[in-house]
Amino acid sequence: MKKRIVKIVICVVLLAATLFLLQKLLVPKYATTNEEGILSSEYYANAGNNDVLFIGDCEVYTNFSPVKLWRDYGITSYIRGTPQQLTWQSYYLLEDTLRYETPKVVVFNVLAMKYAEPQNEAYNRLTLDGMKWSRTKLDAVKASMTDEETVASYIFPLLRFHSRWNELSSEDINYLFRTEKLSHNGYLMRVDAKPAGQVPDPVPLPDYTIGHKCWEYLDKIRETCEQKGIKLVLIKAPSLYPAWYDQWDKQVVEYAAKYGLEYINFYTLADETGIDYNTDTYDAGLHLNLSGAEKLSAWFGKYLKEKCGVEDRRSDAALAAEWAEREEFYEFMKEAQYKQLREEGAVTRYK
Amino acid sequence: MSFVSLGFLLFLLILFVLYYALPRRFQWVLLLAGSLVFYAFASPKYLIYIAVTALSTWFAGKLIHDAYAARDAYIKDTPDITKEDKKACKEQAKKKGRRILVCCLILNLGILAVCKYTDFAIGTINSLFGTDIAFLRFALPMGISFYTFQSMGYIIDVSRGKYQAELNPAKFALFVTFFPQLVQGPISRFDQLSQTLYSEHEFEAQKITQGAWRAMWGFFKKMVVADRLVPVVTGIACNPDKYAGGYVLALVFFYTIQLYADFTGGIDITIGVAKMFGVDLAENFDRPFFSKNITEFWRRWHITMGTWFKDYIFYPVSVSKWMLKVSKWSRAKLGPQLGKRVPVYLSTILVWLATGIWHGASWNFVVWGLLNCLVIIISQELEPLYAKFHEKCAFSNTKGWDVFQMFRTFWLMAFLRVLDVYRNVPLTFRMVPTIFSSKGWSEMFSGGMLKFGLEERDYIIVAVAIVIFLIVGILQGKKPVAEQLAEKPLVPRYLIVWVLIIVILVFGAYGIGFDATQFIYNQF
Amino acid sequence: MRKKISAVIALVLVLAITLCACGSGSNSVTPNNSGSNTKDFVFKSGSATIAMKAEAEPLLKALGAYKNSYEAPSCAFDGMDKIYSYGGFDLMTYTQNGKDLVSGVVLRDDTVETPEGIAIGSSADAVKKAYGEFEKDATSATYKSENCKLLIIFENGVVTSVQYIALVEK
Repeated sequence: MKKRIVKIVICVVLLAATLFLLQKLLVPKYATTNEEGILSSEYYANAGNNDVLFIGDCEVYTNFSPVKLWRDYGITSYIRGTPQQLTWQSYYLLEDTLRYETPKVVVFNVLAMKYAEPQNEAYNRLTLDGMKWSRTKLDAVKASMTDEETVASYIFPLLRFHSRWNELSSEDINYLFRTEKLSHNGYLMRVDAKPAGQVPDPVPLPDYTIGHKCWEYLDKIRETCEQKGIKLVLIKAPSLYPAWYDQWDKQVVEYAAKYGLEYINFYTLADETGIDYNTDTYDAGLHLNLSGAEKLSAWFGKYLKEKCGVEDRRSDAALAAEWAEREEFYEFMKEAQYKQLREEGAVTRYK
Repeated sequence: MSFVSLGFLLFLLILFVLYYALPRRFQWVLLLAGSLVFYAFASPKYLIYIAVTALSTWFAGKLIHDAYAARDAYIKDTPDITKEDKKACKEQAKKKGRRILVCCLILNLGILAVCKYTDFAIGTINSLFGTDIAFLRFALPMGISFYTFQSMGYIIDVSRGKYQAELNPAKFALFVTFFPQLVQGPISRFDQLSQTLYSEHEFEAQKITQGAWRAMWGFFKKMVVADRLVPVVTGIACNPDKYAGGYVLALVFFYTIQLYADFTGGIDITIGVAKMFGVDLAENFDRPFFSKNITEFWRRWHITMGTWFKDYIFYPVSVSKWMLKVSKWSRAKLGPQLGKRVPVYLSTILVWLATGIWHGASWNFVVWGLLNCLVIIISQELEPLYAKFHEKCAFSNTKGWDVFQMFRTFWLMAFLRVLDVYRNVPLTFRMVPTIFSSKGWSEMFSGGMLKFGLEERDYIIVAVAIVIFLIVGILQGKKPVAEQLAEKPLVPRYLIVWVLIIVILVFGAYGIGFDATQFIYNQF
Repeated sequence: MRKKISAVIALVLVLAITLCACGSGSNSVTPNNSGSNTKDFVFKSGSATIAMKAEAEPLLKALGAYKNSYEAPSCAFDGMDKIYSYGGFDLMTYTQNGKDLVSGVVLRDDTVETPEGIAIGSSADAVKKAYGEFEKDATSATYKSENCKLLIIFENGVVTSVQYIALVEK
């Protein structure tokens, strides 16, 4: 009987190990394709000692440079942003971050307030798959799932990505047991420029009411910050497209006024920040490139120092050493992208 | 709750643990509770229907049992009873039993008929008379065709005195609602199933393991093959204007493979799951595509349905007073040779008409049933010719000829089955002949078959699976494959099972991106 | 005796039918904000008839030179969202399977109108006559056809926006 139980246990363990390896093979690696997918998981290697936390969608991870903030102001920061990161996902990523550290300032980009319902399974996976498992992740999954998704497919990603057997490439083998570092404390760099040109007028909406679910989670973000003694700053990144309607802006302004929060709409500060939409965007006004991100960070760093009292920590030797490494990687990627731009006329890979 | 869902697997796990943890005398009660939970999840609004069938059939059985018991008691307690009195007493009980049976049949077959066939009747009336009667869209409770026929088989057997009625309503309810067989059958007989269903089962590791293997084999067929082919089949069948000619032949072939994998896979899951609880269900398929002719095919395909129609329609109709009159008349008018065929063929036509109607509420299924009947009758008529051919031709007694017959039977059944997928009968008869035209052939082989969401690798998987089906079918001819697997040493045995699990998880057509309806929607 | 049997049979039949009727699915058509239209809504400009989800390439040829074009990476689909501005309206496209398909048309001024005669500045009553009823005091009306959602926005009973939106699975 004992022998039989031992045999069964060995068989089950071996099967589980095989399935685990298969799962590792089949899940997307986000190393050379869909690189934004790596952002969610890169945080954990850089957790701790971040005085400023940015949370939001692509408008945060392309528009702010933590390395610039460190260089000019000695401000340590991390950007927990992922593509189309929804308001509730930002809340849960904040909660997740608080398991590792307590920043002094949280900066939330309000574009996601336009989405009051789960949107897209693919974007959910980019945001959630990289999170380490915890009660927070489970809550994030349940809040984010579209109708076709299941919690089981998040616990066992093999159930979602099994069909990738048809799309396996060398990337899946090369990155089976390692990841490619691509971001700079959550900032995804692009050095190329594409002038904005004439951006079409916004399309009128039948209803500009921001959804209840967004307010609910913005309240949670605010209350969590209050409990932890964190200063919350609401921002709207200076994108030209998609439209950020005045009617939405007004609701956020009212909310900020009601709770005594700072709200900065960077679109209205283009002159102050020095953003030039001919040279500072890589996709005609949706996202800033490196030049634009550094300009914005230069302005915002001053704000963080003077208005939020964020310390200059360049005198901390250990931190300085850490950030020196980050700067080295930053310069390496910058040079690699400029090189590709010179030689091939376009930036098609991050490094 | 679909078999192919995590919810079902979780339900199964919980039920399995409780089944063998609780005292054995509670096992059948747990199965009943589990079956009701399964039905409540899968088809909650329609729980009342299956409850009505179970209750009414049980009650009818009890009434018949009481009538027969009263008859037996009277005969026993009347020692000086005359022959005539005894006959009259038996006749009276028989009549009472028949009345109860008829009421029960009318109620339950009535519910089935009204739920399933009202709109069919309305549609037919509208087509024939140009009326515009609105469809009533009655509810179709899950498994109604299966559990109704199973219950009616029971009450007919009880009224015939084949066995005693089940007096415990809860036990009878389990017979009707036993969850593995609700979705696709098999249609069980009470005397066979009750023995295994109500008895106490020890934890038999070997039996449970073999049941699990059988279920996994079923999941492989359903998830890797059947579900993978859905977009091709629906893509071709729903767009007859776009996909004709060669595509129709592809449809005939792939639909047959899909149907085989789906139906036999579902039954494998059913039988495997039941076996894990120690319950032995009747086999419903016996390597049907190894059949050499259509008659043999219908002895190997959907066996329990075939035997149900044989026992409860064919034989009773054949020996009925009415049919005896027809037989007498036909022998007189048409001579003994032809005359003796008429009642047999009439009964056969009736059975196939009923079989077609049972399969679905549309003329496609009626015509399909009658075409099967036609082929069977023609085969029987040509029997003497075949016998002469076998005498004269040596090749016809070789394995090669057997293979040819199997190939021929496969295609014959496949072509008949294409009536399942086209919108209506005229369209089917319009599309099939286009196979012999030049339409679609060149397009099909230059990327046409990749337009349905399947890639080349998907077709390779289907091809490999068909080869596996053939190999397993050949092996099954010698001994049940599960038993052969159990005899293998540990390492190859577990390796085969592991590979099966991995193949199902990796190559299964499930999850996001495999929603066939989504594909069809996206086509436009 | 026969009458008894007939009565019982009649009773069971009634029971059967009642039982079926109990579970009858909802057959009622939920009224829209507005009427439903089986014919697809299209926009016409010159010789071009713009239907939602139609291929954009031939339409762009037929429409001729545009005043402005803008490209943005698509959120919902792979590929690029493109906006072409013509006199009076914008044409939007999305990419699917390598082809650009029409995702929307937005009327920008009163120099253009729908084939049913509605333009920016039209009255709510004119919209009702053209497309059907909508809720009283509504600030917008939505009409659906097979591939298209026609959205009309009002302010003080006057049309301020007319939009054709393709109905696409995400």
